[in-house]
Amino acid sequence: MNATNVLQQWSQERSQLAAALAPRTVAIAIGPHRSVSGIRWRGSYIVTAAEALAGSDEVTLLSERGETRAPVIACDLATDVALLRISGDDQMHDAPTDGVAAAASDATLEAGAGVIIVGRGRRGPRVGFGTVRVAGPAWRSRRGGDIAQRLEFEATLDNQFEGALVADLTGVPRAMLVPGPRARPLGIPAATVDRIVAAVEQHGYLPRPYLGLRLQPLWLDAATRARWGRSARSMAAVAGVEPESPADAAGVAPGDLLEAIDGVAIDDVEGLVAQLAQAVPGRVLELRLRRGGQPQTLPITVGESHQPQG
Amino acid sequence: MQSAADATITDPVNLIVQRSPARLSAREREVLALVAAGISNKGIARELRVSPNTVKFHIAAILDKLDAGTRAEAVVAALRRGELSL
Repeated sequence: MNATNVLQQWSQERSQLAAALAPRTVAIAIGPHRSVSGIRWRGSYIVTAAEALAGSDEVTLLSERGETRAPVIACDLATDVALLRISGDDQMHDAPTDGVAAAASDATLEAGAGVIIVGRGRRGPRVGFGTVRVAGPAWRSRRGGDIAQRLEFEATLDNQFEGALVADLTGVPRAMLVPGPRARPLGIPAATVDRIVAAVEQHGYLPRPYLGLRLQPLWLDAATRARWGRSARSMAAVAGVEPESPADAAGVAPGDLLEAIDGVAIDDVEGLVAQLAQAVPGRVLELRLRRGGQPQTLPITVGESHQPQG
Repeated sequence: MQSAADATITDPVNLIVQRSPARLSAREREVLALVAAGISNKGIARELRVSPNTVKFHIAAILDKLDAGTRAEAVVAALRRGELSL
């Protein structure tokens, strides 16, 4: 086989892969001009980037099968995953797979691996090829979202790729593309998207654990740290307790200093965000705090914040 | 704390330089709590009995006050400042 044939074959295989994945994507119209991408994930669910929706509760989807409206079912700013639902009788949800794996893979990606990124704009599919630039361990977003793997890509993409499908070169879906800091392309791994989809499938919405505490940082001097046996320089001080909240019922008072929840030390607001993200509404946690310098333990029942209606 | 009126009288420059970071209004805190819970603009409008445009206006003001580029950043900033409950 000569060099030209090899290049032709390479080119053909790339476009075939793109064509096979394109039906899994939709364009999501945000306002009159802007659009982002979405992925037919499974069943009647479409996933996209939560930030991109900018608070919409219903959006217009455009795909090869035309135009349809879809409600926003869940919007998780912590992981940047939003879910839309397409109605059962809508033909759109039977996405043809054309021999491409329908199920996403939870396996981690390796740095240096090639990926195909398929999104959709108002005028059709948008395709990019790239490389996994960073394949790090699991991480937690500043907003407290547990993300299964840190994924950064080397690829030239525009903002219509936000929410696009990232697949490996065998066509297996691996992640959703979101813009990271300084607009670097980041991947939200399939395992993380699956976790949100599964929670919504189970409850019909995304449950949000809630305590009703407002916190502010308190900086400790070395002497206090030594006396209280704390290594972190800060503690989270209770600035306020919402009336009739779980914290109120547990007897937490403004001025209390948070030490630990269920044995896990809490040093700041982010620490509580992270612990709370893993909490299950209805469960009783052990809240350890300092009141007037004295240690105290209170049981607190995890509540649930506002549920979206309809 | 020095009031804005005092600052104007004693030293007009202070009004700009020493202004403490803008606090969210009670209404803005309500809006942001609903944003944090993943509620749509229309859902927030229904909840607070205002128009969706008013909600958008509040959110723009919140992002501005908290110097946030995204809704998630605004939520984190407000949590840190003790203006939003967990």
